[in-house]
Amino acid sequence: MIEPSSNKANSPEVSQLQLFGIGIILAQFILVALTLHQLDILPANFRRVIYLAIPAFLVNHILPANRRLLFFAIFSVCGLYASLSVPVLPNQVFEFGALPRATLVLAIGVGLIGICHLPFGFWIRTGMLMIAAVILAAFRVGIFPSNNLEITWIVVPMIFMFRIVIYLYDVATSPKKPDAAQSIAYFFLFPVALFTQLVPIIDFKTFCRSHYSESPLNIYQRGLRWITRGIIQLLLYRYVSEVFSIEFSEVSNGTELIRYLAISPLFYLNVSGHFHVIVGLLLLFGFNLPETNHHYFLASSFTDLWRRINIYWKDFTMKVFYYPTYFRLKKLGATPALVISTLWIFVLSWAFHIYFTFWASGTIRTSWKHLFFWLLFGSCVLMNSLWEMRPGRKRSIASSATTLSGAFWTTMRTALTFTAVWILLDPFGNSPSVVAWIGLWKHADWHTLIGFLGLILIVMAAKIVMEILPAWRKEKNPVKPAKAGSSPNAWRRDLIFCAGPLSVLCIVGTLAAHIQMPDFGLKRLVPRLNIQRFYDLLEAGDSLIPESSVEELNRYKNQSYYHEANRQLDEVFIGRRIPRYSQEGKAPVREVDDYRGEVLETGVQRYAYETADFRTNRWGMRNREYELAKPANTRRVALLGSAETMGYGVREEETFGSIVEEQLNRTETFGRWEVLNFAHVSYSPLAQIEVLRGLARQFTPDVVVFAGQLSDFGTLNGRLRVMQRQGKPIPDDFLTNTLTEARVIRYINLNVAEKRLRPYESALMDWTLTKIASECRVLGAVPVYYLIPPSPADQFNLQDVAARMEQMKELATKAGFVVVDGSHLFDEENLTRIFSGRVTHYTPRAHNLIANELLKRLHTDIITSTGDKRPVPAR
Amino acid sequence: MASASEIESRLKSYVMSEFLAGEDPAQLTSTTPLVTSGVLDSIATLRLVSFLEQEFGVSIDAHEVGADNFDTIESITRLVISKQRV
Repeated sequence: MIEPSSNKANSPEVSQLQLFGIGIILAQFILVALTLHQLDILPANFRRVIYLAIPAFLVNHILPANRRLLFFAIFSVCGLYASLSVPVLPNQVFEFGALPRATLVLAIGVGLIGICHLPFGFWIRTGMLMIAAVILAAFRVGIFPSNNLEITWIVVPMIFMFRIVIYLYDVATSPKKPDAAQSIAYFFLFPVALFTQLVPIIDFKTFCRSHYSESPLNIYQRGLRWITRGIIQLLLYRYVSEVFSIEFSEVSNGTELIRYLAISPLFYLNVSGHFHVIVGLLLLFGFNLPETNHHYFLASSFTDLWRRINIYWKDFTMKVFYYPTYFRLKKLGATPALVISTLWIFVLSWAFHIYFTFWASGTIRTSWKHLFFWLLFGSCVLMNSLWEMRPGRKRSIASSATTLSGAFWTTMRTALTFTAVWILLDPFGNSPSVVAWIGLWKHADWHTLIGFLGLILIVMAAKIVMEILPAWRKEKNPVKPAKAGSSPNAWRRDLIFCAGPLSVLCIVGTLAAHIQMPDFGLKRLVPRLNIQRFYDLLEAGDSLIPESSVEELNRYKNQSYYHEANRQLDEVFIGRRIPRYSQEGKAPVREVDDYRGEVLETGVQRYAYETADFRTNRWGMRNREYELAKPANTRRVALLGSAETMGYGVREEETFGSIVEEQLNRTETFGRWEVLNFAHVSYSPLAQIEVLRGLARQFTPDVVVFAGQLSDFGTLNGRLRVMQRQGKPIPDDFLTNTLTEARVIRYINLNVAEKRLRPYESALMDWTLTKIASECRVLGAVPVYYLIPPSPADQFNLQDVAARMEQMKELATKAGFVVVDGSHLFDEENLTRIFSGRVTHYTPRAHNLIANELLKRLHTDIITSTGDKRPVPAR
Repeated sequence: MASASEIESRLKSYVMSEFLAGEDPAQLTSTTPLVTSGVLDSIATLRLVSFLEQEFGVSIDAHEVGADNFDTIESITRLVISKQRV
């Protein structure tokens, strides 16, 4: 059935001109690889395969035409093995290498393809595939344990979930069967191994039919043009998300509203950019595929938008669902058949999004709001379709906008469509609820109106420049009608649209990466995504890295293909374990407006903060139950701190607080000791002031131990600017004055705010420690500052670690704390026994060392200062 | 049974009158792309299918509606002829 093109291009003439052309294409391909590297646009794993693809491209081109598809199939399978092969670090626990994982993916894939070819009816084969899907789903949700082969249950569905539908449809409706190379190449096409989550749904017939359907040089050059366009779109997406991004929940006035409305549509550039790169790469191997997206912001009607945005998705649903439904129903009449088929497509689109999310995340997430959204969009397209059904509606081979009035009305329709789709419908789709979407418009004011008019003028101007003027030019200088297989030298025209921008981007990327001072704004113009650092931060995990790095991590996530719901796949991509805690559902915390930001929920019974035993008492502390009133003959130590003090990643009894309590009660002769753990993962030093003013005060501690960390400077800076951004009350004048002096106003970019506050970090820390010590004295408790050792994660942002540690001790001493220096505790230790993972949290052994040091100091000079004058018993 | 040239001629005439009214007929050749150039969108394709079924007495299946059979007057003619032979 699936005949490859019989174009003469299948046997390329090895002429001097062609050799020159291939040389130029090759040079541009290398330029693409360099640009991707310099701008850190895509994952390193992807770039590795791009480097392999360059020689593969040459081999593919040199091979005889009838060998190329087979070569591509073999190369794609090798790509699968390469992408599932990750460097295993010494402390990583991938028991299985790439071989079994990729082989299993391949074997299951061949099995699924085999089902499509069984000599049974279409519906029996469909049923068998559905049974296979149910079995895969059972593995995907973990009903059947699969240890470290779990990645298989993500990669297999990502490759097959949609394409197997098209494949079965084509196999079942065509008299000739595809050969093995066509099938393998179609499913395992090599970029898929790298982009399993963002792959356009390529049509099987088109995939086979388009192979070298035109002059090779033209196909290659078009591929490079699309890759270039994709790179530019990904960069634009990165720039927008870096500089202008604003969340739905952050909109609080008219200016922010128009900013949100103007920026939100641009997030689709991430999808469009990836699609362009993927399809462009396939063109470089001769698959002359159609465009995936085409000027979707310039659509002049709902149906026009449906035809321009994610064209492959539209083609897939039309081919497999729309036409079969319409043909079955056409006996009812054209209009009823059209109405039902159209609405059916949009309900299916909603269902397929749930289907996709299930395979990506392993959970089913339904949303009636999204169904409503799809039906709303579907109804708009339907009304448009019914209008278009009218006989006599004019179309044109060139363009419908070649007269002045035609151009005017097309431009106006474009403005209206943009408003309806991107200003009204798209924010509705992104809003958490219908009520929230309605609430969004309460912020509209004259700033919104002016911004909106500006935006629409830009869209109209773009329509005129990008579509109407070229159509007029074409009208005035008619060229021969396009024919299948255009001029073999058409590729030269594309050269300027590819090599030029790529060279500029490569140079700008290089300058941005290497010029230190001044950077002429290049770093801002082309924000560099440091992939290696991204991986380090990912591995460290959101809650264990300084707050400034959390923002950086989130930025990287936004700027890359990273998908939070798909940790296992990302582990394969980055070649490391990503801690599971970020995947265990909503953390048991409650937001508060004060310096703490959030507090632990009370009475949490079971939650997996890396361990499965996390629970809190009725006071919201990670502790056993304590009475509020201090029992007789009891002394209390209030423990303040953040993640390490709370005991992230270890069991409750393994935290240094629990060890200290247990040891004190075992060795001290004076009554009972209670060590109350008030720490929480996200607390900055500022939060401790609030803890002391609130809950800790009620427990009347005798000693307050504040476990300080190297990251405290950063978390203090972070909490302050986030409070300012969120408009939370900051009751202390010193802090508000500092914000004013540092020019940190509410709506400033958080990264800029972080930089502006950095020179004030010492003063802020000084003020905060003084405040904590003074609160301790109000309580009549001995203030102890315990400087605990830094984790590698703490040291990400600091070159002057030792100087910073010294400064912390000095500031604590100045504030009136008894200082316990534990910063050196891990100096002689093997860090792999101290930190679980390379840069994550303390192990039980680390907690033991920290507890012992604290106990030593409590015994030698802190206990006596609490009023116990008796000699400290020997331990 | 209509000949290939007769089918082509009736097809051109239908496409010109229904979808390209006012356009220069010389622009529509047997190899002018119709689907990929946007002249035949999904709605227009469905109308064309109705025309083919009524005009030439053939029955088109859903899986035959696509760029491979409907992109040019030439390919549509080929499809109609193959259907008439059945």
